[in-house]
Amino acid sequence: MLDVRALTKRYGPLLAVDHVSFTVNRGEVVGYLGPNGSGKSTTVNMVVGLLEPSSGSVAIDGCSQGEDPIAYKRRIGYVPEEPYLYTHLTATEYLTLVGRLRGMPQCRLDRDVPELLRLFLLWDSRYSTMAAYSKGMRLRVLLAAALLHNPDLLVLDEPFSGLDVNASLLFRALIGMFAAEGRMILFSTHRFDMVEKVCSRAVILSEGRLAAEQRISDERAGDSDSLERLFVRVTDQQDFGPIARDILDVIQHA
Amino acid sequence: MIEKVLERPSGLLTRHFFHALFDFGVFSQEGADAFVRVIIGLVSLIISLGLLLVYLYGHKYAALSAALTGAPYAAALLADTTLAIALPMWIVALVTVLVSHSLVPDETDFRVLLPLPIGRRLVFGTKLLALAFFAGLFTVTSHLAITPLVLRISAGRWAMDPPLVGVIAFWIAGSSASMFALFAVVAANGLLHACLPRARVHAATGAMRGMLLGALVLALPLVLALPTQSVALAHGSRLLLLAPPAWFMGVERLLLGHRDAYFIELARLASIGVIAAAAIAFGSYVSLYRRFDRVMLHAFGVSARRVRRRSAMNNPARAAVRDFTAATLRRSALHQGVVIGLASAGLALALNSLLRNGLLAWLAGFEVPRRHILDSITWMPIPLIVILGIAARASCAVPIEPKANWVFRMTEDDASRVDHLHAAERLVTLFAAFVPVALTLPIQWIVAGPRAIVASAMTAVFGLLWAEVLLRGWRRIPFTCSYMPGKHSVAQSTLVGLTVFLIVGSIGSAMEMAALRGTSAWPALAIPAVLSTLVVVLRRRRRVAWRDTPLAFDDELPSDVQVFRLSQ
Repeated sequence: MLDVRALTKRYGPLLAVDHVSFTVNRGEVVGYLGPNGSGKSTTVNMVVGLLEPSSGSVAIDGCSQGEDPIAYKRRIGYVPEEPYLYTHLTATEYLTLVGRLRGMPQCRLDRDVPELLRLFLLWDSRYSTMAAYSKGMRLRVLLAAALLHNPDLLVLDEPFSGLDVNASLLFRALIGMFAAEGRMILFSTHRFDMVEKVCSRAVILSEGRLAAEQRISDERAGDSDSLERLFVRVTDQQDFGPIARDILDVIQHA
Repeated sequence: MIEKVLERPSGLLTRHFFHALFDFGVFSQEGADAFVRVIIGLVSLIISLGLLLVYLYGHKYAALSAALTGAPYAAALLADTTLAIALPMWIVALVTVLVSHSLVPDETDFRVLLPLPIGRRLVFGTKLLALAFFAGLFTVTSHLAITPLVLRISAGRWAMDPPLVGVIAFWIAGSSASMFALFAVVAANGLLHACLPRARVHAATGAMRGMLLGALVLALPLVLALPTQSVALAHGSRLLLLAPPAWFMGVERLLLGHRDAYFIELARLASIGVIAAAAIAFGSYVSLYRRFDRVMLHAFGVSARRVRRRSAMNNPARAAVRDFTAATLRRSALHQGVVIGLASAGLALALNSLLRNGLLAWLAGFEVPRRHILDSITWMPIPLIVILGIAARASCAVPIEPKANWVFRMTEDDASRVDHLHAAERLVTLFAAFVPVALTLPIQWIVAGPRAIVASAMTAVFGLLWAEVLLRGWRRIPFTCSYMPGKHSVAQSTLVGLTVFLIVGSIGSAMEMAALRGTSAWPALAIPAVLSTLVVVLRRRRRVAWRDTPLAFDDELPSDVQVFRLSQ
């Protein structure tokens, strides 16, 4: 179980994340929702160990990030929001780099890397440097790199932006099966439709604080708009209808 | 009016491309700001050097004015005018090579700009215009810096032309020379883009940039030696027909009305050179313009053979960083530029020491004092060790895709930290110790016979020691830490560098000399033994420190604020 307790991040006087606590159980896909600037990415960066919390703790099955960061990070796979990659490398070289940095033996990399490239539809581009890849292709490389070492927890930060329909369907199926094998997935996104289709539970963040937690299965059984309505209510979102009208007025008068 | 022009698409694009010429894509915002400070520092340095030249040449021309005849002055004027033309030419060529990654519109321009409602012609035109502004900036700055020197050498008792006319002729000839340098570099790049398949262009332009950078650095001693060619120029040397700065000196002389056959021939070569370089540059631009979409939509590739090559290694973390380092050095033009640019400076200094002490004459069978030959071969390894080591360290410090370093951040751990840093150790050691040995051993063998092995052992140990100095406090996986240039002032760094170089050079050279000339064997054995022990101790201490200290991924400004205690 991923156990996030009273996680807090301060940047001087700014409180970016304020005592956020939630859990992700084995076999669960948890959607992490929040408007821009609510502290989603900061939380994700602290969960994956890229950012040190000001206070609070994160642990996987009792293995605390603060006490044993190395053992903790070994159990995580991470797909960042922006596809930041070493684009002068080929996909094969990048996956081999990541696998070796994670201490995987060469024989396993020789077996798994080509196989993953085939399955992620990157085989034909294996000799091209990633500078020539589309955003969708780069995301597929990142997902392959995140899964390569068979992690216990997969952290996905907006993984569907830039993916084509086929790759999105593959991602969804993969996430479902990965969770069914007893792994944990933390899925940070803006998209309610994806959360409703993929996640079993949603955690909503607003202004750095935990605003709501909701089981998706309950939602699916009821009103399909209710997650969105819940989000609008707990994050104090304004009514966007008049703003949309104003935008159209501006461009039509131009 | 100017604001209106700048706000037009052409003005905006020109500004965008102009700024892109200063952007190497490796700096954070703080790093980019620091880089601008470095550029300003360099421009100030160029102007200061110009003024320093005036001071140095003041004495020379005072003596020439006092001479009994005008012949020495006339000969010196030819050579010094050639130098005055060559220096701006060299600077413009150097900066054009440094920004050659942005000389022609690239794939990003293609994908970002062409979907916008602007034409291909505008993209190419504004790119050229930005390049013209960029080259113009350095041409004008360097000519301004040299103008006081030209004024000084054009005045005097034996001067044949009014100094002001001389300055105008210098500006016309010098600007033409700088334009020739610009066109030549653009033409070479344009030809590669136009002729090679897309998959090969990246590697080819990177390699050519490295070669040009190396050639320019190696040419600097030749440029600085131009004033010694006064007699050759005065006698119409045919050899100097091969030196482009001399062509433009011919143009300057013709502009001043000196219609000597030699000057006419030099000016003819200058005209042919400028026209040919400009024609090739524009031709390749037009060719690329016509098939831009086809060229850009063809993906980069790497050799399948190279991808398949995998070494079985017991230590995966070490192999990961080693292969990452090798791939980056193979493919990143910026890192190749840093290594080759600095390494060429070391090579130029080493060659200079050989030529100055008459090694070539000695090899050709002429009588040269043996002490001079020994001096040159004992000094030669020092600039190689010092500068090649610095080149390797500097290239490791420049990041590639700084935001992608999260993958290294996530996998950092105490146990494998030394393995992660091993690639930096390997690279610096290779450049500081093994390359100097490989380059100097054959020459030392020719001169000193088997004793050269002892000298090479000394070179190797000295290189290893220098590598330890360079790696002291090093905490970066190569190319993964952000970089902020300009943390120290250019003048301060230059002064410290020169002092270190002279001290290290003197000690190292003396030790090598002791190994080569000593009659007893003990200095040849004892000195390397002591130094080796020192290397082993330092290496152990460094590795212990590496294990205990977290890696650095963000460069920082020095935190120790220097306070002027003016009130005390």
